[in-house]
Amino acid sequence: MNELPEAGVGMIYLPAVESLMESQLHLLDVIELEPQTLWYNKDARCDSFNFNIEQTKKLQEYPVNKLFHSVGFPVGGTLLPGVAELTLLHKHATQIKPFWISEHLSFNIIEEKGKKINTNFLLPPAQTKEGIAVAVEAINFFQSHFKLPFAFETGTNYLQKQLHEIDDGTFVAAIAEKADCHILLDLHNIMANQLNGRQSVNDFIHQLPLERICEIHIAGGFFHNNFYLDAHSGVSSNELFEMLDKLVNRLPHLKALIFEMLPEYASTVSKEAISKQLEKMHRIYDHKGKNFASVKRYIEKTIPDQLLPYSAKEWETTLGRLALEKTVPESGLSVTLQQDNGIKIINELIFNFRASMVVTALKLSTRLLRLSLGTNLFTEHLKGFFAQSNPGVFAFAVAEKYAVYLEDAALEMPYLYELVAYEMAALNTLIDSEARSVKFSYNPFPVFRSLINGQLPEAQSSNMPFVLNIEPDEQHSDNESLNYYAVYHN
Amino acid sequence: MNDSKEKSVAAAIGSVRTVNVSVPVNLLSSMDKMQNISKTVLGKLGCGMCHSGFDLRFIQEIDFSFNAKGEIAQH
Repeated sequence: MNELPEAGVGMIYLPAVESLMESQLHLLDVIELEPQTLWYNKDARCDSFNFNIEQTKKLQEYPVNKLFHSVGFPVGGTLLPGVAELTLLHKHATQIKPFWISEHLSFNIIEEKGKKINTNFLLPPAQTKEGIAVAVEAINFFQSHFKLPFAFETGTNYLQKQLHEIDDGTFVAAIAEKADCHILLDLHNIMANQLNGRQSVNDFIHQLPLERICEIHIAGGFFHNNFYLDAHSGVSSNELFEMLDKLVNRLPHLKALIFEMLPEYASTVSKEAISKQLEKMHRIYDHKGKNFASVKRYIEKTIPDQLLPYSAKEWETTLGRLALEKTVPESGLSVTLQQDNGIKIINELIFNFRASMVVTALKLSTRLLRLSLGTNLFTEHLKGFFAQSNPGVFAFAVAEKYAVYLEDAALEMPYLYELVAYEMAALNTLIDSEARSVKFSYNPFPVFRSLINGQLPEAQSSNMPFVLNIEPDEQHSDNESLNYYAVYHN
Repeated sequence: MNDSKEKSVAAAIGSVRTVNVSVPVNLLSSMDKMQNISKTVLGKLGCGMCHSGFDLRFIQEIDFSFNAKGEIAQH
């Protein structure tokens, strides 16, 4: 295991929290990038994707340390990511030069009729002896594509502990020892697991090789339908800070402490609150490792060596299919999982993730649908789309499939299809900077205005055709785009 | 688009067969003050942040207020 450089205290970088992050630069030693969030896919039918070069250049110039936190290729499953994806990740890393790279100890791909399906959600791996071997193989495969130190992140698990499962902490310890790698301890995840009925944070930490923990994540969450969610919804609770304070003392090789928050929640948290969060983190980080006592915690014998009623592959297929609300063959495992309330919360979280992708990419078209159909029918309509279409990773590709689904539905709804054509054209232009024209059989501006204000557009008396010529961003300065004036050519 | 421009577009409608309008790609973002930068949109077009939490964007779209403590209240 290699010695790591000091990264310090920081936060996750996402394009949508850029201004918030810039306001805190004086408190940041490091930013952690989720590289795949800067990637895009041009076409739902192929695997050609790339990363945003302009954004990457900007990130290079931030005067702080950088870390890579991969969010697409978790290392807890039997199905490994494609070489093309890892090659692009490597290429991206050579541009940003992070100190190390991390991934999640989870799985997010299952196989159906020979086709790989993404679950859109990080699911817990088979927590068995075989699961340890599976994770070690996945970590070795992942690591072989980089010349960077590697850490895996400890995950959230909304399911109850299964009869045949190894303890959470022992499982993590065994993988770290066998793969000889670092641990990214997500303390918020472990607290969520405790609050949802799994192992306590104390017992979990007691089983870990503390000298392997190089990084800690903390975040905020909340209770929803009797589950504490790893929501990344704001500043951390006092309870989490108390746990962090006790733990950091004991970590001799801690090199980074990172705060995670999703952009959707940024408007609910003040900059002052974020500053206080980071200041507290600095105070705690400053005494890291002061009370470290080396203890060999992971012992091979602690892992029960019993015959398991399911394989890692069966675990992934059964849990993955249930997570996506697909049918499963009856087995001891499927019956147990179906009785677990954790499945219901996972279903809800995946639905929200998928629905969020659609309404974000096609904002006006979906708003017209919702206002016309009503929220309940619109929700059912989205469920219909999800039932016949597997989850996508890229919002653009999902939008493309959804546009086809709408086309096939042949809905009689004024304005809808030209609106979809316009939004798809704008997404294409955002990606490739090529100008496009879209025809309307009506004046689109009052329609846009109504929908942006959350109102159904009124019927139009004349049917004067319009053509909107969509120009790429660089032809308009930021100032122009914020104070839009139409330029029209008769 | 501001009111005076809307009026001039309306005037143009009376004099031509088809109205051709050049618009920036981030037109909708600039009309919608809630998300006014195209890079934000590009961020959301990318690979989703596969995580284990609650993606709030759908809830926000269906017009609920949802605060950082997870309290939901319909307007």
